[in-house]
Amino acid sequence: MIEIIDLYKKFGDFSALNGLSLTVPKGSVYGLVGPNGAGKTTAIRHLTGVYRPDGGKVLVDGEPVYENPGVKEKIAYIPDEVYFFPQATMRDMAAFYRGMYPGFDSELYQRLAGAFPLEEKTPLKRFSRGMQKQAAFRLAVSLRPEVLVLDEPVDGLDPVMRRQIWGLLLSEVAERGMTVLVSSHNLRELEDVCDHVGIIHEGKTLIERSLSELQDNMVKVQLVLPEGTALPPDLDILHESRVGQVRTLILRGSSGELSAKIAAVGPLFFDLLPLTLEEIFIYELGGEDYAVRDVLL
Amino acid sequence: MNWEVRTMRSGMSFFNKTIYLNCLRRFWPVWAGLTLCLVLMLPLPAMNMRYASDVETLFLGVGSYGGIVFAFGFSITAAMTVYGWMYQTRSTGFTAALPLRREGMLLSTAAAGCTMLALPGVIAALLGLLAAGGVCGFSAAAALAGGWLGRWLLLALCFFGFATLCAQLTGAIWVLPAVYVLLNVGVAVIWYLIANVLELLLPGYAGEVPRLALTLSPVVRIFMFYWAESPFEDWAGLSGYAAFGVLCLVLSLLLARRRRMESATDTVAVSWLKPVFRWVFSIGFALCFANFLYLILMDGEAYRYVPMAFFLVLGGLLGWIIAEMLVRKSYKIGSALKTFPILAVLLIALVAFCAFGGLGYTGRVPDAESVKSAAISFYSYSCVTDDPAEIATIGELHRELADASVKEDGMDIFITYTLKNGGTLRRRYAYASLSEEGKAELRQFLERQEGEAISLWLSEPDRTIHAGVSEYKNGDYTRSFELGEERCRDILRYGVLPDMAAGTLRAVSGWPFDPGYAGDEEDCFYLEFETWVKGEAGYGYNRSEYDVQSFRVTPAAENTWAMLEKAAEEWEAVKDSYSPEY
Repeated sequence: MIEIIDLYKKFGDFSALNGLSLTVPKGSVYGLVGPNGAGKTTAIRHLTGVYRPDGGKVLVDGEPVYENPGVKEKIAYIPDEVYFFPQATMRDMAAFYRGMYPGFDSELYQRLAGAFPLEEKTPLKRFSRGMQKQAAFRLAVSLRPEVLVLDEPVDGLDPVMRRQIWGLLLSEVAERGMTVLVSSHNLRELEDVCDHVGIIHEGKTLIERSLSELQDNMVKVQLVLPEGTALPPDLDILHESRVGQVRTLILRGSSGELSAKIAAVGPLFFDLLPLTLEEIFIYELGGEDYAVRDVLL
Repeated sequence: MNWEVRTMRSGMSFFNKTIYLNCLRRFWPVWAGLTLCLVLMLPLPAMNMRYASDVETLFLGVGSYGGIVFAFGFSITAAMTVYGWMYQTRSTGFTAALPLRREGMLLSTAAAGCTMLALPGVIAALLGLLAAGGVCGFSAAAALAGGWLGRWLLLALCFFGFATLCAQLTGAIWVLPAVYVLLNVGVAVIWYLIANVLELLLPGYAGEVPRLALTLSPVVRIFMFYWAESPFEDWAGLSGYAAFGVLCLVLSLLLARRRRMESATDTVAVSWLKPVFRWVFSIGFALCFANFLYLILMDGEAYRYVPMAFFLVLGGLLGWIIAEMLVRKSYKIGSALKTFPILAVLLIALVAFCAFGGLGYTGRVPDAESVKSAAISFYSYSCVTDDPAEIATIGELHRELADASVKEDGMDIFITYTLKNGGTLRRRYAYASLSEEGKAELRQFLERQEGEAISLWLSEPDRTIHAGVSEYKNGDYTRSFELGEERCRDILRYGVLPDMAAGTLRAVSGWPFDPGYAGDEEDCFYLEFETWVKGEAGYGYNRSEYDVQSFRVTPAAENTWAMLEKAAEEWEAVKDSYSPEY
């Protein structure tokens, strides 16, 4: 289990993290989302032991990560922009990882050659961005990590390779109980793979739930009310729009509870629709003064 | 409880073989290039040598001085490669996420850097041994090659340790070599720049670089140490420098453990050093800028306080702004100039200090009772004395110079006292500060001293070891040749001494304002005797290894003239032979 408890980090005068707290259950696929500059990458760099916390704790299985080789051996990390030694080939990097990580599985590495058909002797810097990402995934999975940390992992990959990689990772999660923490702006894709989601904003956790809880807790309602009838007063409305007689509301609360309340005022028509992760993200952050604004050009 | 207590150390904490071998494999061009340089410097030339003395000169001379240059240059190259991961955000992210503690990373990469320097040295020494063994025998060659290797390893440890420390201070790879060079020479250079300002503004200031400034500038000190004292067998001295390198490595380890990876690309990586950098950079920039502007705009004229103050403040302001931009990595410096007025006041205070005589510095004359010996030098004259009466005379001249302290840039008089408490006091004043009586007294004093020195020299012709002769004929120098020990002693005994006794020849130590001193159109020989005087009293203030006595020989000095004419003819006959002396 990954625990980030009350984490603070400042860069000069800028506070990147302001008491961030997250809990990632073991064996889950956790989506870390947030607007640009929310502190996602900073949080990930703490989780991988790159940054020293100014305050708070970052624990994996109850042990601190920073300067703890024993814990870091269990973690594989694929950043947004992957790094390989200049001039290094796939073979060189595999040899390096084999020396650094006791858990490196050479047999698995060879087997993965089928899934990631990359030239072993070509310098990695000659590969395209997508091919470099494939190389990073092949190496990371070969480490047999207990925790895999991904920052914008599938940027640059084609749809087939994306599906293949997610399939591989999810099978690792299912078979070995690997924990995956993934940060991405591609919420459509996260919705397909994540079972837990944390939304962070300005260095703090805004919301952290399982995806099903999150979707159960917010609904979209379309309704038409009779002339002169008002909405129930105790609705938690996050957003409202109107086209003719049809009103569209984003409401916080469970669908059963909201159905009962709306039915009580006798609407001419009403329908409850589930929200996508992207909509949840937009409306949650709208309440935190990060709403979509009309741009006038 | 902090992270250091909560985390466990393991075998991976201090050394990682994979990192070590990876560095050696990836950066092979560095150590291969160094090997090539060292082989070209030592074994290859040794193969073509025929004499043991040549091989010895190769190992002790070229090998030692070249060793300093290569150790200095390749240490920073090795540091830039093995610590290069600290200077990019991507590489720091990759490396810091590896299952390895910071000290393990530093020690593994430092070990690789040391190997990159040591291995080429061992190869060059072994090849040198084989090449030199055929010339001077293997036991002598082993001593030479072994000695050279020992010196190389100690110097490499010194410079690489220092480069490692510099690597921890910055987060930008382009800054690293600049920091390395500046810290190696920085204190001496800053002191030199301050001394230059004081020489221009403070009457009496004699411009000396203190030993501490040199000691804090390792490469300057090591070069001077080698050249001045030839410490080929001074293993204690060299070991001291190597110990300094080890100390730098230890400090680097302490800094590396606390290093923040987010400092990659920062000019200054250690947060508490940022104000230090701002101040040192600004002061250094102010001094460079002011000295440069003063040189080109004031035409070398001394004692222009207001322009110097203006140049210093302007330079300080520019330096402050540049330093701030470097620290912030931005052209916007915001409110960074808030504390600049403090620097401006300090720079103006430096000028004011000079303008007001350095708070008594200019006028300070020690009591005669407190002086052990005194020295005075002017133009080519110099003398040192421990006679109380002569010390008193120098003190009187000093007092007159200090009281007047005419601010004229021209010929200077240097006075140095060695005090009974072990201290020294050295001053420099303009000759123009003396009254006419004072000038006459100074001349009389120095010529008496010079006369005594010449008499002493003339009484011991066997000290003379060499002479150089230049013939001046029809308004031009026609030929120059050198005289060996026996020949020049003969000319001294049977030419110079009789001619001096006859009054037709005198030493050219000459008072600079005498008419005709600088020579005229008459044909002559310029004869310069070199005399071994190291450690001897009475041979002038400057007790270097050699003293020189010069003569301008005209036909009036019949004996010397005839001997030199004959020597010139003989030289013509043998001038194409191997030896330049005969």
